[in-house]
Amino acid sequence: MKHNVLVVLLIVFVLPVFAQNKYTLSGYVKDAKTGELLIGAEVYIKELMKGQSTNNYGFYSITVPEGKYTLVSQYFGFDDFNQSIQLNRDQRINIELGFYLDTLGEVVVESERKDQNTTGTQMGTIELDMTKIKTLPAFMGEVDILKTIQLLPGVQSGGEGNTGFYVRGGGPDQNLILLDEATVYNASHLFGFFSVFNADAIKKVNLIKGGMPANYGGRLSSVLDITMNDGNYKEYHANGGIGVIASRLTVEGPIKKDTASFIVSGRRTYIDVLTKPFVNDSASAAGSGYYFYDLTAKANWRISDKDRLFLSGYFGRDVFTFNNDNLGLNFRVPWGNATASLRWNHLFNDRLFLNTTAIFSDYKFAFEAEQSQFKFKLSSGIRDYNLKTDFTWFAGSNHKVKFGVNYIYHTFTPSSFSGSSGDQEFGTAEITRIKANEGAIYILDEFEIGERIKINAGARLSAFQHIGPFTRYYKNETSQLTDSTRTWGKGESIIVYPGFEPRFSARYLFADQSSFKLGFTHNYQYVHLASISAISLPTDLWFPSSELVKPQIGTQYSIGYFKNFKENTFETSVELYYKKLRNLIEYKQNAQPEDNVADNVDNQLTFGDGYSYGAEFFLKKKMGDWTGWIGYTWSRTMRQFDAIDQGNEFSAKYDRRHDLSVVLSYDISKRVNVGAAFVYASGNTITLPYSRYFDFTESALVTVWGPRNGDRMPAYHRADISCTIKGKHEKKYIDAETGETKMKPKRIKSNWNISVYNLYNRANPYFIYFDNEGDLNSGTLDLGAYQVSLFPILPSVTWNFEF
Amino acid sequence: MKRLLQLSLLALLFVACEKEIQIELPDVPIELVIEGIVDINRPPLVILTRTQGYFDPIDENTINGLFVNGASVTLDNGSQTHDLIEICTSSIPDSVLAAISGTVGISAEDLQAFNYCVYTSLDPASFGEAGKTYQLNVQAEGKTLTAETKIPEPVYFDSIWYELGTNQDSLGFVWVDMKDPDTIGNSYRWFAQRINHYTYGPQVGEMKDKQMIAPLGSIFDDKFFNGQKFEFAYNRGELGNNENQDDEGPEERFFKNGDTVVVQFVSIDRPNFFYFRSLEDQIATNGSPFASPGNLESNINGGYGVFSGYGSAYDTVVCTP
Repeated sequence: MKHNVLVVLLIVFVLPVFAQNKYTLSGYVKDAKTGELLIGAEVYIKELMKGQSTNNYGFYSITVPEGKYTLVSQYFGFDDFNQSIQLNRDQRINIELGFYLDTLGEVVVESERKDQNTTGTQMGTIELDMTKIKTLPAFMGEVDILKTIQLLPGVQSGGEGNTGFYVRGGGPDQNLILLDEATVYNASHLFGFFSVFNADAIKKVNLIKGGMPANYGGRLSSVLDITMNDGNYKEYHANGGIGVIASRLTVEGPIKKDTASFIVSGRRTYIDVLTKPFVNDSASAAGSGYYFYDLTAKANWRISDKDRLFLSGYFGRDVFTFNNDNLGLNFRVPWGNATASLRWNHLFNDRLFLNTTAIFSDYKFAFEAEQSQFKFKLSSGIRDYNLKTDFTWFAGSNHKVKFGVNYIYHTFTPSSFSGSSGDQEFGTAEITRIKANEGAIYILDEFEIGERIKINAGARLSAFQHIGPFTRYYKNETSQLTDSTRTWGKGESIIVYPGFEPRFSARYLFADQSSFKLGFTHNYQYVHLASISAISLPTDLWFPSSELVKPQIGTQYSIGYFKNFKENTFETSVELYYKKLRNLIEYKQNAQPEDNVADNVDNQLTFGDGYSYGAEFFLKKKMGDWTGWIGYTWSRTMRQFDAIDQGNEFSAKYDRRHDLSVVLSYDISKRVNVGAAFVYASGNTITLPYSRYFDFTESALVTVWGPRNGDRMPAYHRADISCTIKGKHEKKYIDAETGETKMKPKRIKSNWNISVYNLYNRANPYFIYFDNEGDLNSGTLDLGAYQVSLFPILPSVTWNFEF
Repeated sequence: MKRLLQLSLLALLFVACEKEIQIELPDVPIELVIEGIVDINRPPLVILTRTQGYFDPIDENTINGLFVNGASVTLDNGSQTHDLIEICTSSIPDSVLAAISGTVGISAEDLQAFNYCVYTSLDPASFGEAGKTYQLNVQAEGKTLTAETKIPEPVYFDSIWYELGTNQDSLGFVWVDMKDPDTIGNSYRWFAQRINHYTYGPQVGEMKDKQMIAPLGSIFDDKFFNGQKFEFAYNRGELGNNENQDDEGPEERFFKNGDTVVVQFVSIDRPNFFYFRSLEDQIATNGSPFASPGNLESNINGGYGVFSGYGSAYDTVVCTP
């Protein structure tokens, strides 16, 4: 039945294509030096100005009438490719682009296809250029893509030095973070200060914050699509860096030249080594420590001109250990992600591209403690098996149809606890696991109507099923568990939620090449993250929709105006959005972590709605010695929960009225680049204690809190600078035959990156808390408010190498 | 566990800096606060106070001004209504105060510290009875506050004893053995008081604990052991921010060989369970930047505080290892 619908839709969309005698040009675009496939490279027919950018696998396909043409391909930082073609049959042309950097390492003025940002239908989409990111100031010397995207309009940081991000008023669980198509559930190391992505292993970062096309689903607010490097097809290389807190190494090369390649990247911190001096060897806490590491690997194999295989994997862990000999206590807290994806690209013909992916994704958290004869272990996590198939039909030069199916088998471990005292075991005997099926089919069609209008319309049909085994605990009116429970057997359906998700975006191109765009998306999200603490911790729980927890639903309307100046040297845009969020979750007031044990997590939750609206202004300079951008967002984000604050509307935790980022990068010379970033944001919301009373019977001071998030901390602002100095990449040698002095490239290239975080040492509030000390009766009681600021001026240096 | 993670996070941020700041708070209306207890065979006690602005000054005068005088307070036990009368410590001789201190569970020192007022009734017909439901009505300053509570049947220990802590030769914990009733939802509070006197140190001659003290974690319910017979132990609690000579250092949280400990084991109803659990959480997270601010789950309509029905059972143990 599903297939019939797809076939009918395909016929309707594709029919106009057969009206004329047309031929198809298709192929892959690669980096000539490394063989790496280039994503988003422009390929077009010069005479017709018709074409497109390559997909995530570097593939393009253009169908135009018979004729004599010039095929052009362009990619940021690369030489243009031009080739005359006589098109009288379907042709396969694989394009190799040469890198711009000449032997002196000088960057020549790049040319970009005109108006790329104004002519597409996509709005609220930003691609990041990895080479530029690496010249920006880096916190503690670690280049971090998640911190860079926080500098974009519409994206807010989760706090000082934190990689958590909030997109257009959405929660942190509403971002779909994909690493080579595998979902990453917790993208942070060290309580959020570093992201799990090692910049050396990353090829492309694409952030969609509005107008999410139908091929993406499962989250309400954004997609962060991260593609890993494929590995050099031509020769072996290694690169790496030694930084203040971590070192990293990447090795890549051909498995079989021009056919198969691999890349392996690793990173490990040495905070544990650094903090050692602070911990005396004889101290009772000796042996405590903290470290994280991650490993990224990818291999790919071109089986034939029509088939390619990609295998990629990620494994990362944070490990925190604590020993206290005095208390006889020691514990170990490991957590982290593991993902693996196997992808198969297949070309049925020059116009039909298939990608099938099998994905494994896992996030685990555990806490293991031992004190004398007591042992206990608490663990939680989520594991997905995911299978998806995506077709792209290049129906015409300006007409593309995508359709596909997706199935995910989720296993959630909300909180499982086991313990023992000597030989006696206690705790929940069986580990609670929640199983669920999630599926979706989608179709989207991108086409032009005349010269001015371009439409991207699509729909996604999704469904979620919570299945047994499962035991539901029921509570009475006083929130007390009762004896009554209901149990479902293995595979038994408990509840099914279907969702219809229409997506639409359109562009109107004005004569001056500026454009107006509008977008509408309606999304369903079936997995939820609940945080019991005021900040994000690895203990935050992922869990599925259930009888009690309905899917989150998000609807977003956006409009935008895009215009470029000075031959595309400057790109500008203004976007407005309104977003409505339904069925959001929070823990009930005064919920305790132990409530999750021997109970259903969703019994501790309460539900509500939210909305957000805002305006985003973006000015970007892409070319020249000076590059950079200014992003400014004005927004308002509210929540309303019946059970919180008597049902009054309150500001979301990350509601920020003003958010400004300025990012600059300047090439002083061929070898020296300086970067700078400045951010200003309205203070975070805070709940303040308005009054208090004494409980004389309990000898306790009781705080009466004001409205939830009813007040604000002082504004946040900070400037960072960096300087990247490249070593000489050439050395002199005397030609043995002619006796002339010539230059040849050095085998080992290196650069130094010096960053200064928080240049003017601003004490930004990380949190404000309230404390009371002393005793009422002796008249010594003292109440105070305290502000904690995390990072003062913090210089760092990193040495990067490549050979 | 959450707290351990948070502490470790703080420990890691060795570059973090902290400073005291001034915050302007809005003026909010003053509300009334009830601390009401009806306990088996004891006179009902209601303390009626006011809230203050969070950073309002705290001195003897303001504290005296916290007590609400002249309120109309009535207690209904289902068959009779009693008017509670106001008694203030300023009108009571010190010798009588000591006796009252024992009854109300507030140290004589505290009672003397300022003009401490309670509403009570000495009519034995108003004393608490297990199984009864009580309605409290308070009218003062144009406000009406109401509350309801029930005194659950007390649950008695099967036995009580003292055990030394691991690797200790003179310090230990109090252990008990009890059977939880079959009904689901039994909720408890644990209080203990050392009634012997210090024979050493700066507080020599003083009674070690001047009142019943609930250690943190004193509140629990039968979620994990409904209807079961089981043993458990408690460490020694401390009174608010008030430090005894053995509240810091190696003896902290331990009972000591030779102590005489009276344990008050109280059965409470569910609303009280939630109030005290949220109170304990607020005390435990005082000064923690990670705590999510939450107001206590009060069972008072029209104000703050709690009205408690205590089904108390008492037991005493002399700490001999």
